[in-house]
Formats: sequence, C-alpha cells, structure tokens
Amino acid sequence: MNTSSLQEKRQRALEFLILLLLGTSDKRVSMLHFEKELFLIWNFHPDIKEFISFISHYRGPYSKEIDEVIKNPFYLVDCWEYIPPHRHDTISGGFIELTREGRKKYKEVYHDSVKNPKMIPLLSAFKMVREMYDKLSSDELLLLIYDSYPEYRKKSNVYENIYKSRQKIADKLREKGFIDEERYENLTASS
Amino acid sequence: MNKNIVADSTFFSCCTCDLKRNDILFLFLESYSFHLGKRIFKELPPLLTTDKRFRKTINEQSFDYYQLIKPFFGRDPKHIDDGEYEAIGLGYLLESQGLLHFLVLDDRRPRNFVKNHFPSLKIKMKGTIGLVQSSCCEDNTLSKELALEFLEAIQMSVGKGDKERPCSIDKKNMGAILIPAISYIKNYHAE
Repeated sequence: MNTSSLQEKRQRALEFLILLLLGTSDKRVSMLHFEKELFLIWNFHPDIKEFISFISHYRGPYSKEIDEVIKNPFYLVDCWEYIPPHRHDTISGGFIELTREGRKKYKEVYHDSVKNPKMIPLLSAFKMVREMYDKLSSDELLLLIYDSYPEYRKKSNVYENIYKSRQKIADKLREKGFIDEERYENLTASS
Repeated sequence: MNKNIVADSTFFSCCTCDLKRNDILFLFLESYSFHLGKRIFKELPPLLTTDKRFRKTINEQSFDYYQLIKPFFGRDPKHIDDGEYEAIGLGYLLESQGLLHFLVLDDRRPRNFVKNHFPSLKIKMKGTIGLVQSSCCEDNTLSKELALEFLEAIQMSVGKGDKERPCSIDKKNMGAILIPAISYIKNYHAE
C-alpha cells in the first residue's frame, strides 16, 4: 500500500473511532476530556497505536491527529460540531458535540461494528471511559492524569497550578466518592 | 449456554489453596463460563495454571484493562499487576453486551470502586460467599451439601487461623457475611 493510501486509511479509521467514542454518550464533551479518554484507549488497545500518537503538551497528553480530525474531518463531514472555548476558558480546549446527522451515522456504524467480535472490547472500553471520566471536572481529570503519567507533565502550562491546588482538587474527588483514601493520600503527597 | 462469570484470583485460590476443594471449583467451571485475563491468570496457583482441564474450561482475554482505570489507582507498582482491575474491566465488557451473570470480587478496594463508578456492575457483584449462596439457591448449580461443606470449611479455616483471610473473610466479618450465608442456605432448603 502506498503512503498516501495508508494515510487515507488511517484518517478514515480515526474519524470512525472518534464518531464511535462521541456517540457513546448523548452529552457533549470537552476536547480535554475527549483527548484524555482516547489517550487511555490508546494505552489499552494495541491497534490504536497504529494511527494515533500522543506527546507532552500544554494540557497533558496531546494528539495532533485527533485535534486535526476533530476540527477538519474529511470523511465524516457534518457529523460533529466543534465549539471553541469561551474567552476566559483556558483549560477545556472547547467542546465537541454530535450533530443530528452524526447521531444517525453513529447508529449505523455502531450497528455494523457490534457484529465484529474484534470491535466488542473497544466499544465496551469507549463506554467505560466515558462513564468514568466525563463526570470529572477538568482540574480533577488533569490531576489524575498528571499523577498517573508524570512523563506528560513536560511542556505543560497548567501543571504548576494543578499541583498547587492538588489538596483542594483531591478533597473534591474524595467527597464525590471517586477516589478512596489510599489514592487521596498519594495525590496529596508532596511529590 | 452457560452463564458468564468473571472472578478475581481470590476465588480460585480459595477453592484450590485454602480449602483444597478443586472438586467444587471444577463443578463451578462446568456450570458457568469463567472469563479471565493475563493478570488474573498470573495470580493463580501453578496447580491450576498447569492443569490442562482448567485451561480448557476458562475463556482467556488479552486486553490490559488496568490502563482504562489507572488514573483512579495511580502508578503504584504494587497495584499495576492486580487482577481485580482486570476483573472489573472484563466484567464491564460482558455487562455492556448484556452477558454478565456475576462479577466475583472479594477485596474491599475494587468492590468500592465498582460501587462508586459502575451502578450497572454493582448489582452483578458478589463475593465468593455470595457466589456459593447464589449457585446453591438461585441457579441450582451447586447442591446444598457441597455449598455448606464449602462455607463451613471457610468458617473452620478462619476459626483455626489456618490462613488470615480466605476470600477476605476474617473473624471480624465472619458474622456479617459467612454465618448469614450458611443460615440462608440451611433455611432455604428447609422450606
């Protein structure tokens, strides 16, 4: 397969992957959440590594491919809408929402994917990450990510603030029942 | 088709090592489909992992489910290989397809995690004691005699201090979990 057709294949696969993760929940999702959820999927499923890469960036693990495909899809045009962040919002990276067309397309693609046994673990992982991580605030999500993947603190322009506020953020996580005592202690420890 | 169960290694170890009742373990394995992954498999006693009959009866899955929930538990090396988290992931995978019968977890930390994050899994969660009770009184896959033999052997083992906590039962929680299960089975079959 030549380079351009391989690239096209990857782009197409990534767009369908995005559609499937987006459609898993009816709610709109921030770019920050969506990207971190895909980062966890990327760590989970070996095949995903073939067409996405993550680097350290301003707000933790970042994928240029995801950013570009969300903002400029080629195959799934009009399936989702990217809503840029408000002027004072320096953390969410904006929001993504499925359009009516996208919801319809999601149902079709999901219907086909669910018949493929290889896709089942991936579909279930999509559901799992959205159920677990959508409910976190941006600060909560970043604290958990930076603590779990310290190699992605490099280049961050929010890590210092997150680290300074870690006690307050961890208190919230514990109050909501999202983390237990052991995790609370390692999040609030000094390093 | 057999109903699907995902159980953490404590269940298998309790049958094989603590109680030395492989006969009961194989009864379970023949009555249900047990799903497990690499991490749970690694925690099993060699007596089981080298047993051809055992390997034939289980369904092995190969995804790294810990990656999906790692931010909630951190990077502490002592947890990275814990099979409980793999059990939660596999349980979720089956539950999302409507195929999970029981998720068997004995340790408090992963049980609390399920309660706090996955309401749909919570209702399918049991400990080893609960599994024995349900197999005997709901599914009729285990006779009253064998169920009582199993539970009374745990009671005896805890009483004698043979092992500190077979399937997480100790002297403290014996009265809250084990004794009521024994009474329930006796009363259920007396009716």
